[in-house]
Amino acid sequence: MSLPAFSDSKLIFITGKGGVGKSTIAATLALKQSLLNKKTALIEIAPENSLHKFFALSPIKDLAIISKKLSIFRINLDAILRELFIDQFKFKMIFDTLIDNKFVKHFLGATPGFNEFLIMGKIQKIVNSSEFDTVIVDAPSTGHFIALLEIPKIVSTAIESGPLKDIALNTYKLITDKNKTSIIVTTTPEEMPTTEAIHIRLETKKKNIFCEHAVMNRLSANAKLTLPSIKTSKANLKILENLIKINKQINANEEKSLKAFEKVFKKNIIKLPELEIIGNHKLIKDLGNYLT
Amino acid sequence: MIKKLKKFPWDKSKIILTCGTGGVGKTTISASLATNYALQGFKTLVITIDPAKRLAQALGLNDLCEEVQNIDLKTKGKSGRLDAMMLDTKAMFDTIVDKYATDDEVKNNILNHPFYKHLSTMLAGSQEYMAMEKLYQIVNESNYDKIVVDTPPSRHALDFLDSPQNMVNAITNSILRLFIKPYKWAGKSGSRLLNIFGKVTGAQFLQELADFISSTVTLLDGFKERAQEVMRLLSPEHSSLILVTTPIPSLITDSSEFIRAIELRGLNIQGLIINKSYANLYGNNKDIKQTSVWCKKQTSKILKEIGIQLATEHKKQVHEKHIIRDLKERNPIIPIFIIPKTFSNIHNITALKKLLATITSSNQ
Repeated sequence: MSLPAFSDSKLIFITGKGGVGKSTIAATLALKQSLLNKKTALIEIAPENSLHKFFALSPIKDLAIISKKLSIFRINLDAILRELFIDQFKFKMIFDTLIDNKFVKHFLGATPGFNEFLIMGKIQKIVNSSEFDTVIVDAPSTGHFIALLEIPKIVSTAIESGPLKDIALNTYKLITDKNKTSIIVTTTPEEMPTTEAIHIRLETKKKNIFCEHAVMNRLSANAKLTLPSIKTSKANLKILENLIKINKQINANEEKSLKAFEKVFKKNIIKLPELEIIGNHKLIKDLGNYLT
Repeated sequence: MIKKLKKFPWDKSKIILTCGTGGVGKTTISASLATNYALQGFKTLVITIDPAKRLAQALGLNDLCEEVQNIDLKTKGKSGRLDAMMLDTKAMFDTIVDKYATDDEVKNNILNHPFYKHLSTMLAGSQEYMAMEKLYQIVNESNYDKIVVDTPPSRHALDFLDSPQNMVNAITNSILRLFIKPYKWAGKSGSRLLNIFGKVTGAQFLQELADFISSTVTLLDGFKERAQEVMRLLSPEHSSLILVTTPIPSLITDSSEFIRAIELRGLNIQGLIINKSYANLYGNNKDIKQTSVWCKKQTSKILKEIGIQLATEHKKQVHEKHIIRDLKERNPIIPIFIIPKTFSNIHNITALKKLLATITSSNQ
């Protein structure tokens, strides 16, 4: 078993267009790393709540410890806000007596950009605590992901000094450090997700953030393109002809997408097959064999 | 021979919105609906949020932009005119300031304020709300027969419909509120909180924010009023909602929840479209199963593998049938439609036009 090159990073984001398989890939990578003895944190961001399905658990509230080497964090804002006010700013008394958690969440959480800032701050905190060898984030899809990445810079520019600025700066330093952070863009061999994946790479480059690695997911594992000559019923022949025709189309689309992808990501592309298993533990175990 | 045009339940509305999570095909379907309305002679506008460059090209444009572009549709035997635009949330926010600021001085104060750049970037994340604002503007200022809105892809399709209220909440309940009516709100706790906020963000930030908010007060009040107007536009009287999904189990669960939530809000879904359907993709269920069994019995390795592929396809089709049956049981009133999966990209007007013909009722 071997791991992909980017596994050495301290922080790994998995992103891409909606529906391409980000959560599956994040879970697969996290499991594989943990089995190879790297202490791994896998992070999910509320309101997403799907990682638990890969580990046969009920929905995760804050933290699920899978093994000595694998923990799953679910970032939700109630918890971070409390952490921020109490741990970071030592405002426990005020927090408890004057400010109801629900109220603060409603109040601050409604402020544009604040949630994104909290999420990034929490991720930064986990990474810099050095408790884990790697932190893998099942990131949101394109639009929201880019907004997330932009926030540290915005906050650090908008605020002159103080603890929030420090958090923002530390986060910005972390995500712009190629040696520490990797962003893995995911796609399936279709036009729109591939275009969007390439777009993510271009947009992040402008912000000094580097998406060097990519995964092309759900490649057809068994598209047969030709039939041996056979004698059989008309009905069978019809089905077989349809299948070959469709397989050829699938193949053509895949080649096209791969070509466009390779132009941009060169050799840093991992190809994953479509496995006919429902999203669960068996899936991520088997898929792990291809994630090298 | 004149082909009879298909009629759909959403045809009765002026405003048609496609909702659903990312990657299900909303944008393409919206473009197809709009193209067909235009070809039928309706004065039509399509608003898209997030088109692939190819879709813009399919519509005959170099790129979609914030400005409305007129497209001359030419296809076999038919022609028409379609207006298309893409929502640019940053520019949209500028437009709001432009429109609703009370005078030029206020407007310039806002646009030139150092904080504005940050706020509009952060608010630009609320694509959903901006799409609503745009819709509101267009309905009030123009006289289209049909407006097809491709809503922003949301993990939760409800984000779009809740966006006016969320925006109002953001304005009235967030930190912004403190500056609009500092003494009216929460008294002692309010100024305490302000104090804390000042400590963590720095005094200058606080001052800038206060300046900014006082400039934008009337603007922000306006959001609330317009939000109510926008909600009115979404009522069954003016709009049809179409929920688009694909036959993936988790999305189907989301769909049912979405439908419930919509009904609770007093709105209607005029149709549920299952896009990229496996139904009859290779042939009908029975035939596929039989061929698969035959293939697996053969000695040829290739045929055995083909047998396995067919067995998988069969499973997918059966699974999909169950999903649809479940959906029907839970939502007996909502018409369900299917669009078969294809492997060719939509790359021109003719393809967009033809897509409509492939939408079939799941009863057939």
